[in-house]
Amino acid sequence: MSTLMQFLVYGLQLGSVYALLALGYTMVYGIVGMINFAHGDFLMIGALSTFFIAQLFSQIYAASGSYPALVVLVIILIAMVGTGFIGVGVEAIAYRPLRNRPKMSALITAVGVSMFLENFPRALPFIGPSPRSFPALFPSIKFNLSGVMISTTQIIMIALSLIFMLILYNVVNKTKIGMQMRAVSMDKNAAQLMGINVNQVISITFFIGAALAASSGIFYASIYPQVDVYMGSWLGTKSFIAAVIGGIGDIRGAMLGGFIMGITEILATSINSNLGYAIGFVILILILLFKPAGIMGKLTIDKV
Amino acid sequence: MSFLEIKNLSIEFGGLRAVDDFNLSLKQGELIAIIGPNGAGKTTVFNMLTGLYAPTSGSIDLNGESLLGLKPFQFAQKGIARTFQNIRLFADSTVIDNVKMAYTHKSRETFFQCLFRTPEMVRQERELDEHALKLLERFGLAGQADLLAKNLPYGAQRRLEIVRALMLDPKILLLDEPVAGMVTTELDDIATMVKKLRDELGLTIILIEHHMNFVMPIADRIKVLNFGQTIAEGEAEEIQRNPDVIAAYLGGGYVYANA
Repeated sequence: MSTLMQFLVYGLQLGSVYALLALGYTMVYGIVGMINFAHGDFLMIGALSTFFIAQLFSQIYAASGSYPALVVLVIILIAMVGTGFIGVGVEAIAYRPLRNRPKMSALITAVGVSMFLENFPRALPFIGPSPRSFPALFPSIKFNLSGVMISTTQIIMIALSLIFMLILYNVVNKTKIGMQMRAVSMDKNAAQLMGINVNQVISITFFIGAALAASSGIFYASIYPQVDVYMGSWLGTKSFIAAVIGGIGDIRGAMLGGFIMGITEILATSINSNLGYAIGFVILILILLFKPAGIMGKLTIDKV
Repeated sequence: MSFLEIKNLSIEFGGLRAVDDFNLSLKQGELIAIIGPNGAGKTTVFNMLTGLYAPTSGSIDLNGESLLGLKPFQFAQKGIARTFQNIRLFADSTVIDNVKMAYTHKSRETFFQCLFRTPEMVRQERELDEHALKLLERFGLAGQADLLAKNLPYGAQRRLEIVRALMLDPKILLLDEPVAGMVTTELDDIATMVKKLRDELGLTIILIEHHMNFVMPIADRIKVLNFGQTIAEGEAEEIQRNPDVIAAYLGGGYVYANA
């Protein structure tokens, strides 16, 4: 029993990474109607930039080897905001000119953007292809709760990601910008004729998505402390699956899908380490067979 | 000085001149109708008046201020609201949310107020709800405020589009075929409604319509387009007698046969 609980903790931890990343896929799909295959790379940018920012700060603040909480918060915020603006830039340069073109153009462009985002930093002399070890940003004090080991890192990660999701859910459902997002997602043309600045709304969507991806990158690197330029690609694929499982376009679905992916992956790995990689795809196939619109998704039937 | 001044407005798509030399000068509170056969360029004029298409040449001035080069959402914020020929509601939102979505650019609620639901924000939200409900009530939709827009009957959806446009607090309302697909009994209701909008709210209205007998009694002036060109302009009776108009509507042969 306690082993199962232990796996559940690991699963929640990994699941929060997937869920935060899946939110970006689902928001962009829901509002712009395209799949941003470069989204996983925002995770990498977030993690790598955190690495460099932390390095800058380390000379001043972390002489003792650990970072004060406030400094960690500042580092995370800088990385999230920075990645957010990169997301806005990518949208403005690569996707906006193609918005009224066939969906396939944007899809292929997204693949290209993904390749660029991975290989451009790889070519930069001060980044390069080699993996780096990620600094320990969060304190790691372990607690033993009747046989289940849980560390402060895990508690902080899971709590922070839940807070981010709660904020996002409220932003979309309760605020002015959320209302504009919903209007844009339903009909861009009608929305702009109702005085809504569609470009601005889409920029904000990309900003939020990329910032959340950065946070998930930081969390992921805090569990598996190694960062390199390719880390975003397969994490991105898995989170995309999570978004599809939950029902792409639905925010609650992305969170649910992320946690399902994380927990099943950990459980499957505990049985056989090869199973861990496969299980996500197994679930995806099952979902597509039996509930093609995802768990939360509503199947839309085109009227003829 | 007129309220809305459109001069020599033309647009070309490739080699096709969809609207040629369109002129219109509107006084505040006027209700004018643009009629013409299918493909005459009526909706294209609306698309230029809402910033969706950039005209090839010509000018659009509202209150002496040029609107050329503005984005569609800026046209809307300047006070030009429209409805669509084929209904374009936010189908998966409730009726009241559809109306409130046309108010977002005016709302002064800040991000943090919304996130923490401050009393100030709750008060503003309540005022907004009341404002939206009042408008809905005027058009007999208050009872359906919480239904999804897509579940409304067709006629109600058309009315909701007008309410949503009114929520922008427009100076000019563009109605694109407001009675398309409606039965004759409904025509009179909408006609009364459009007239009331003008008389009670002092709105300036431009109306596109096919139904002559819908347009004739309510429009102050009628403009007739055919193949992008203005072929007639004047009051209802002049238009009805104008041979060019009859030719455009019934085919040239009809006029010659009776000549």
